[in-house]
Amino acid sequence: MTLSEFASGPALIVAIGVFVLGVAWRLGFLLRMKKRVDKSESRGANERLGGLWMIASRTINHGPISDRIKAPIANAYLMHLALAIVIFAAEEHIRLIQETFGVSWPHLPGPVVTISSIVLLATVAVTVYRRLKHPVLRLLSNFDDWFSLLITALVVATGLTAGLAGENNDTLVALHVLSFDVLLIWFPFGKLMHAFLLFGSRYATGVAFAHKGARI
Amino acid sequence: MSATIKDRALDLQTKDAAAKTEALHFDMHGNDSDEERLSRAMKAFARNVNRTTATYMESCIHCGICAEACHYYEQTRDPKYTPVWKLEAFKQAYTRESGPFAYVYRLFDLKKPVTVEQLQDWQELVYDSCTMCGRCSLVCPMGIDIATMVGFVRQGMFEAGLAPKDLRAVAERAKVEGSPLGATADVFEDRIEWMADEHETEVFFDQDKADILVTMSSIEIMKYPNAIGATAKILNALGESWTFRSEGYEATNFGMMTGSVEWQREMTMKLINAAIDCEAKLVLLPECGHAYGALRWLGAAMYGQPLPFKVMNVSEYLADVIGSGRLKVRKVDQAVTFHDPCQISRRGGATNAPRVVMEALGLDLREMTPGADDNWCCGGGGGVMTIQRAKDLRYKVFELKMDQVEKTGAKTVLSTCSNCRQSFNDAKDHFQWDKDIDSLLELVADNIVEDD
Repeated sequence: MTLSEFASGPALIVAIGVFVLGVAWRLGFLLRMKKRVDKSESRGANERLGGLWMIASRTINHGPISDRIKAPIANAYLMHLALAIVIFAAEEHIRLIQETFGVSWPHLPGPVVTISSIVLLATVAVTVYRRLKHPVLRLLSNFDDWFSLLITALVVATGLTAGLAGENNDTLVALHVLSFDVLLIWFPFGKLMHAFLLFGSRYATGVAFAHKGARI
Repeated sequence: MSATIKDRALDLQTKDAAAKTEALHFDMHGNDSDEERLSRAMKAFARNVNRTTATYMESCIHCGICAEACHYYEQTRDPKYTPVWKLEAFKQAYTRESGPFAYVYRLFDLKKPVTVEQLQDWQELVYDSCTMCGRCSLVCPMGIDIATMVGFVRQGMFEAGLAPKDLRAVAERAKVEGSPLGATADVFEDRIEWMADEHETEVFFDQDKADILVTMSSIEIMKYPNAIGATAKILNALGESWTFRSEGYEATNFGMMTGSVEWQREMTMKLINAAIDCEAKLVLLPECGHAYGALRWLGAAMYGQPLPFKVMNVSEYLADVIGSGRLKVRKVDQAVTFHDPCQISRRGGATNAPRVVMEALGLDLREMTPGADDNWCCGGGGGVMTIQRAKDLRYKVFELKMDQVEKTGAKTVLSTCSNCRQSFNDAKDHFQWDKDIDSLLELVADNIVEDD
């Protein structure tokens, strides 16, 4: 079995299995927990709408923050935008999704995806730099933060080099898929889960704030 | 006593070892063993683990944005004041004992157990340097309500005998005497008589039945007693059926701020029982921020069912009666700025009420920047005002507030919280500041237009 066959075969199957079961376990664990019932009189707003509104509002509104943090927030936006382009607009990824799930959509030109990959790596580098330098981030950062950044960068870097290598890039593609396997396995256990968890935490606070009539 | 945050062995959740915290001070109550303290703290933490709090604990991405909204971090740039860091002991306990991978964390010791030393280190962070103002909760990109979580951490700290002695003493006094400042029922009755004379108005006390049960904060009773007369004047002008009740007149809840759920319940139940006894339809809360949170939003949880009456802060009531035209007020030619009490505005949703009142008074309102829901806390809430050792930090934080007020150009600051007012007055003395802090309630009472 070649490295490529291993990465795209058993390793990928195991990774997808861990990802699906892990995500289901972590989310299911939270959903099974007792729910706090607020018996105080609501101010009257639609609380579910408040929850949904907070999911949206916290995506664009960062409340009363200082100018110091605006550049890092812009960096985070850029990182997530580039990530979305790289994952969902690369021709190779869409082809793979079509083969697996039978659905597809138009892809962006290769150079756009390449530039997005470079931008994504740059934003990861900025994030790493800030985590190393900023006193608050130094205090808060743990293994999860570093490993999640590392594995994300690894998947993007191998994908970028595989794309740039053109023909005869089997080994690079295999490394790309292998690093993606590792990312899938790590995903349910670390902070990458925020892709799912943000909906729960924002919704809960949105409901509570709507109940009080507080600004969402 | 003092302690230093010790370096911890590297594990999955270990924080940057380079981030040292300088010597901290803590108080410890009782002579229990560390095991007993920890056991009680862990039970308190576990009691507060539910779907929402667990989701919060799972969601933090360590972005540090909450620090940028915190007045303590803003004024000191000390990373230990990062709001979400204040939850670390709770988070650590949750991850090791209750989280979805708790078994794995324990099996491989990936997350160390919380220690008493750690809780001692955290005392300053969750009491001295957090007013639970909720500014951090406004900015967290994951929507984590950090301020509420700090309240839960305090519950664990209290159970471990690790609430600051000054705050605990005040809460204990409130439990024993019925008031944190010695405003016992007898003292209150004396004050009522005095204020009735002073304001030449009738003050109803211990009426068998009344539509409105009126409450006061101890700070008002002892330091700003005109609030009693002002409230009476307004309610009498409206012809309301109202009363103070000797068994439930004090609205502050230091049990809640200390972290004692038992004391919190006891204090809340006094008000609830007093209201039920006189068949009140409304409990009118005074100009006090945390009293609003304690009864309006947490009262039903203490009672175990929905409250059988409405609860309003006096500013909401004034906005109602002025807005509906029931109470008429004279225009006041004065430039003011308004300090939003965190627990009434940002955390309570009543941000607009005082503005309705101020508009009716024709005041030249000069909003602070940032203002309203985004307003900086004065630094006196959450029981911090009672903690003597936190004084210097409180003054440091208040400089933010002074700067905000100065920029408005107004000489007078209005507020609807007597604790904020006390915080302002204390800082005014400390800084020899030339601004005045006044009560919106009293301004309304002074400008009632009586019907002929």
